[in-house]
Amino acid sequence: MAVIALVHKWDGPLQRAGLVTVGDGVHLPAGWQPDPRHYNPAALPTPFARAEATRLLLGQLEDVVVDGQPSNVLLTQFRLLLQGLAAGVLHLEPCDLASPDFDNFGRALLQVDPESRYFCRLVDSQGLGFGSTYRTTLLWGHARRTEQQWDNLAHQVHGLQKQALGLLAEWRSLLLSAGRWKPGECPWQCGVDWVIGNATGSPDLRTLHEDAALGGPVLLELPGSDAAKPSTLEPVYLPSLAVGRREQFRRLVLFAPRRGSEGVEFLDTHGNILGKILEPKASADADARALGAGSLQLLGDVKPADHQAPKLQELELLLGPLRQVFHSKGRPVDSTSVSREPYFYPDALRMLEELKKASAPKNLRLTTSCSARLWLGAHLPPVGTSCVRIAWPAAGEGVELVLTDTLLTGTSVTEVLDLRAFGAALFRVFLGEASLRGARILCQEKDLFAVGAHPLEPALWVYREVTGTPPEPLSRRLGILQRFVATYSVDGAPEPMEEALQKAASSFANWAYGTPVMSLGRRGERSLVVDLGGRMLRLGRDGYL
Amino acid sequence: MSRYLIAVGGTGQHLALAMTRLVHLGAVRPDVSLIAIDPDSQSPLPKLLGEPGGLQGEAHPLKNGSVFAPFDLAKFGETTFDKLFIDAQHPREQEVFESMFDADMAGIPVHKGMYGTPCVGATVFAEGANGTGLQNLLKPLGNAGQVIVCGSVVGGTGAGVMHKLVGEVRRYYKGEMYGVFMLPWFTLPASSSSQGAITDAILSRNAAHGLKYFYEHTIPQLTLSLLVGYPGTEAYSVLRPLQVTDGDMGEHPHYLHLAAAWGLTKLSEQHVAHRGVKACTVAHNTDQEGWLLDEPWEAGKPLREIIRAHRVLLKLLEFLTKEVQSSLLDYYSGWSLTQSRAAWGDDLHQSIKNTERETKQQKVLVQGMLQGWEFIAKQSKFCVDWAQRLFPEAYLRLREGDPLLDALMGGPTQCWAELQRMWKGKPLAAKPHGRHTSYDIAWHHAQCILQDTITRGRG
Repeated sequence: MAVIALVHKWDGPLQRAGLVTVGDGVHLPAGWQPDPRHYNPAALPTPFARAEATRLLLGQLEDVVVDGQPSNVLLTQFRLLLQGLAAGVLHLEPCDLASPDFDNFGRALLQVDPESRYFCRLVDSQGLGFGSTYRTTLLWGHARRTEQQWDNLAHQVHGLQKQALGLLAEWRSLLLSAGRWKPGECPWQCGVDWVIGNATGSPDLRTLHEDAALGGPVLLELPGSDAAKPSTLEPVYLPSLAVGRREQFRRLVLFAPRRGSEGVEFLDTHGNILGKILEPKASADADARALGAGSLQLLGDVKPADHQAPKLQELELLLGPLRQVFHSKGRPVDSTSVSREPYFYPDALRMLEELKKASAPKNLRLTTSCSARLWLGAHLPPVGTSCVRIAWPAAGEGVELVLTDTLLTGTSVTEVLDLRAFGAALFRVFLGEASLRGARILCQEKDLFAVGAHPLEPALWVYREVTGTPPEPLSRRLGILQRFVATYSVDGAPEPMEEALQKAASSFANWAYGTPVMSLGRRGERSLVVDLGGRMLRLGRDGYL
Repeated sequence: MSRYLIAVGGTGQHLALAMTRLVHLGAVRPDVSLIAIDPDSQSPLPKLLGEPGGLQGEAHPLKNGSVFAPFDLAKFGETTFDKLFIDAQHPREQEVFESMFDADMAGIPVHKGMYGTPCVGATVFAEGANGTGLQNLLKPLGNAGQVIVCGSVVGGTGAGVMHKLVGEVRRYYKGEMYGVFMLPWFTLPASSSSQGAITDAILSRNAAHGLKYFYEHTIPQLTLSLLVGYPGTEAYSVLRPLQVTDGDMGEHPHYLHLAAAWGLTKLSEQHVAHRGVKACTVAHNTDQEGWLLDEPWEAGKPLREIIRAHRVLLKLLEFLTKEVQSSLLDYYSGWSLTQSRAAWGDDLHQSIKNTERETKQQKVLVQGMLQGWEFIAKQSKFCVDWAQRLFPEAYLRLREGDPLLDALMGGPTQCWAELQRMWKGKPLAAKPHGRHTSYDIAWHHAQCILQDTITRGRG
């Protein structure tokens, strides 16, 4: 019996007519693999054919790169785009396909590939597009740039190539350290390895820290940081050479920041805008990060102004909403997180944390919710006697959490009210007015503790409640207040956390009643266990409830 | 619950036409509903699918033969690819479009087809998928018992649309979904080298890329897929290479369509027997190329016998409607003094009498019956002609000779004798309420011919 398979190529015997499995039944038979040298986007059934063809090529570099030279133009374009970006000749322009700017084409693309929503165009200084980004490919080349235009780009990149590749190597080393560099699983990382070749970066990643901008971000499929974690889609910031970038930022923050129409602006003494931290307007369903929130725009060279003090606190307050955006996406903005994986943060936040780390003492906590102006200095600021200091290693080595009700600034006393507000939150729990919802403690559907802020920091509304004179009903409840103080009183020398609870309860009770309140009466059972900033606390409720 | 056949592009329509015939013949169960997608609904191929053998609308064997464009043709009219998207009010849209597609692709007149460019086909489909038209087409799939997507990985429409279509189908249907993907099944003449013309090189290119994409992205979404294409250049009696002129948009029947249709009916069974297998093909016996004719299809009868029965039916109906219709009409006009109904026997007459006692009206009834037989013959011819294009004559006869078919070629006496025998004792009884139409009588007696032929096997 002569039996043939009704496909274009077949290896192996056939016994009989009928349905037969092709190859192993799951994978493309080896003999059917197209020649990667001839991958043609036109033949791929997806609108993102150029990206897809580039991805296929990046996964088969050993077949398409001979003596260092690619035999498919898409790879040549990939290499040039990456070099151009790293050299600072090309920059990333974030886009949102859901924007009305992209009309029905954007909608069509989202219909078949919803994850393609956020991408960046790569443009030169004249705004001419040379390519775009894609989550599996990193970069792919524009369909209509002429050979002459590519040659011009190559010419611009040529003199900066060595530094650009060194910068890429430094950036790659960060991902490597974090366990996120796995070219075997990630075609775009194969491509980056190929482009970097044998180039190495500067010692201590100096170029990346001092003379580079991290732009984008680019939504990329990134391997998980350990073997158990799968790849995820993450907005990653890519490096570009920018000589003196960090110094420029250091100079910029010496000037007064204010909120402008496009984000935070820095003004000189004449009112001229020296730089901006962009906060693009995003629709309710848009990811502000993906649209470039936090990008730093320098409008010219910033002259030194060392006679001024850095406006880090003012900047921190203005950047509060931006920090919240990142925190809500699982990217806390603190020096540990930022220094561990800086490629997840825009320049403004990254460099601000680096500056704070350089200037701030290790053992000071910055209150972000009070109206007092705190001064960052080399030493612990003068705090009042009612102060608790708790070692908080989760925030870094040697870091302490400082809770205080007052600050002494010169001859004046500034109310900070950490302990009183903390006590107010504990009192709400004591009265049975708080409920647990997951990790959150709610009172009247509002968080009692600030989300994304420092640990044990009550919410702003709690601070406001304990500012000024107490409401009269509170001052008539001596018995409850005495039981409240008793619940948290500790005999002997309490450990710092218990001391914090004791002082917080006393601070609040004393303010509420008007005079010091004794510890008296039935202690509430401290049976409500909550996790506040990584510490498990036992909170109490009034035994008469 | 219904099986839905979603046919994409020209190749999908070829498979749909094969299935149409097989359902009409009774070889495949009549629970298949068609959704056909192609930008071109005016060429001979979609027109044939819309009215195969005169059957259209609800009478269509696949419930509906209309071909739907993947985008709103009425809105865009005759248009090029870029004009579907680009307008002066959205410069950023234009920038992104031009970064993804070169000028040649942009100028493709998509109302005619995708010109062998799957990335254009995929994008046009994406535009259509946004509209309510496609979503309304796919909504009924929520009640489907099984869905089969079919088309080619070679052309621009099928290859471009199918991969994304599978994703769209999944919005409405979560059950078992099968794919039938045609690999290159025809060649183009070497002279097809004009600008924009599809060539063999383009077909091969698309097949190679399409398969790679299919295995990575599409196959995981499907329960099981069938790949069928032409295995080489050798010509056998039945399996033969086919050359098509670029731009020829008519039907080109091919054995591979029959093989694919047969494979389609076996996919569910294959999946149960070989769970975990995602791709299969058909192995063809070149020593016994009629093996598919001997397979019991869903009817439980070999296709050879079914086709033979329809050949007999066609022969007899052509006899009735072309050779002896005047005899029938003369008899029932009441004017014939020489004609008797002895030729066709009492049973047909009884059917007529059971429906119409008034002799004057009986002629009208017979006229209607003759029209009905013409219509039924047209449908059988639609199927028989196709089978005769796929198989040489010897394959369509019973192996040991076919006295019945030979006898029917012998002249009117033999035809009348067979008709009498086939209709003997089977007049159509009167309806308890109402009355039969002339078509009902014609249909009944046609079915008697078919049943008798199949039951007897040989003459």
